Amino acid sequence: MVVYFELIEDLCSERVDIYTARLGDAMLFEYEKYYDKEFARHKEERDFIDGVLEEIKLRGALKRYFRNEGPADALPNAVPDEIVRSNKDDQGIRLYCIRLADNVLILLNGDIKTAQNPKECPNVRKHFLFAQQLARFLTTYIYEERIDMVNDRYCFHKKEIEL
Amino acid sequence: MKLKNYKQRIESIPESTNREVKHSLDILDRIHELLLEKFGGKQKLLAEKMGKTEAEISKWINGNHNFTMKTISKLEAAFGAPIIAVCTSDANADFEQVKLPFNTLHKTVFVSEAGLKEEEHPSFTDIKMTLADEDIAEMSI
Repeated sequence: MVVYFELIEDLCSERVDIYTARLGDAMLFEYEKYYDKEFARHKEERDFIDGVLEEIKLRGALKRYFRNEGPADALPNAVPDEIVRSNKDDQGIRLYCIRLADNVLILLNGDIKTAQNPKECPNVRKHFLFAQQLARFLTTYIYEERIDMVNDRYCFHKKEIEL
Repeated sequence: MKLKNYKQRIESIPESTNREVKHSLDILDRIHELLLEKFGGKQKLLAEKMGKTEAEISKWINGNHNFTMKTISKLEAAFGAPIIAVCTSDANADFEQVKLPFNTLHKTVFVSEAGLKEEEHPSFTDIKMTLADEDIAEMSI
């Protein structure tokens, strides 16, 4: 499967390059699919995640801002208790992503998580597994291809990788 | 790639949510700053000081936690330094400890208006006592 990366212009800043990925011949990028979802019952939580991404533009993609999902990451890390309490039937939104460095972040797809174990949730299972697979692959790829993420800005922009 | 109507979407976020996000990340950043400054970045030392498990401290440090005032106060006590600052007219407020620009501004305002009625601004009286010797010398010039 070919994965194609592109910068998300609206989310990039001097501090951080934020990318998303498109799989094979898909029409939309992974983050676009998430972005276009309604989340009518989770509007406050989605606003919170959008707000965090705006702050990341100013502060960088620091590890502490992300939820640890094994080799991958997710947003939000912690959400206000009020929002947690309002999510009676589920565990809230998970936006899967891969934080490669303070200045390199790849946003993928996400949805409302309905089970403790993401592999058992019909909504997020495939997004979670793809994030895991891509994160594992990139760790090796960056090392083998000697990609200098700090000094080589936009190193993933318009890049195609065979996964 | 560009996102559809991104500007409108961001502008539609309520101001209260933006503030909540900013405060959450500010507190997290400040805790990391103090952990590095006071304990060399070692969670274990903070855990020992607070009588907590390292796992619990790790949860706080990694941001998987909603802080209560109680937890923040305990952390402040362990660090011996403030995590949050509140706008206050309290004459006893220890502004000297807090590294925020508005404290510098308070001091500057006082210095430049040294001849004004100090007694009418009790909140500034305490700040006068925190001025460095060279600042006081400069005032007398």
